[in-house]
Amino acid sequence: MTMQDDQPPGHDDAGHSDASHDHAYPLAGECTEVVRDLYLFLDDELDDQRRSLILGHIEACSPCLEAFDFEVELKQVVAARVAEECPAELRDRIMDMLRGALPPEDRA
Amino acid sequence: MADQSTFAEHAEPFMGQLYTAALRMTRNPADAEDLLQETFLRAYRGFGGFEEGSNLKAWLYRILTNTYINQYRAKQRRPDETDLGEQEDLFLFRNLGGLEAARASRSAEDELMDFFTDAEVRQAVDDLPVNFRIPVLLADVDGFSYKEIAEMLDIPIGTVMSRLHRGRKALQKGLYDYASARGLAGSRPEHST
Repeated sequence: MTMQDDQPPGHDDAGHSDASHDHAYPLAGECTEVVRDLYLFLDDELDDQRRSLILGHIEACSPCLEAFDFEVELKQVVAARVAEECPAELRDRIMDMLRGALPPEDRA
Repeated sequence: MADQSTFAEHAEPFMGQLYTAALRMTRNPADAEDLLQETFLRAYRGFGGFEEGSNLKAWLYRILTNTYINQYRAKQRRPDETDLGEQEDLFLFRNLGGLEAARASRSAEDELMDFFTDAEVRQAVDDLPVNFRIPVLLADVDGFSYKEIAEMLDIPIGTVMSRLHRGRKALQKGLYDYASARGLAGSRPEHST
């Protein structure tokens, strides 16, 4: 299966000089590389030079900026939605265990 | 050398996060409780070997992850080699038509945060095969670096990156499928104005 299967027709605009352009998929030019590195950027795993190149790009390219914003929000959504409160009973049981309910050989 | 008598005080603040991680690893509360308890017991016993000043959170997660994986492997009859399929980049963004479309389908001030329910996000995470679920949790929920995840799972950084890449895309596909099932995401929107 190729990535082009059910895409809307793409255009060949390789640059991002026109900040009002829309993204067509597959992406072209610098946008391709910026989106490829999107998660490296969000995960703070890029060197300073690459990071500032991407910052420069998304400042000028609103579709890329929108995609970045979406992924940032999504990451926050996932983190917030999966968080669950540790049951108090479990917390107490573990703390009691650590604070002295352990067998003697386990104590400091 | 860390003082074992101070372990409980140092470790308690991480219990909530570790519980969430344990729950998403085991996918059920009873196993999560056992896993969390076992993790704290092992950490307590090993606390003498914890280097003071190093990252306690990462150290605890490493114990949690290893405890889970060892138990999981012992129970598994065959390795979890589910094929995730291959999603395009920006799968969810493109298929929901971006933030504005996601917001428009509810009310103007709604955020993406309100688009999915807790149950949907948890289920979409739980649906990921364990090899992908754990790196995604460690990166996206707990904020660990690729290097820290590689050390915890004892796999190369390149493997962490590829599992994250594929796992996140599969997660987006799962979220999209849940949104579709509720009729919130229809056919692929045109990405032009």
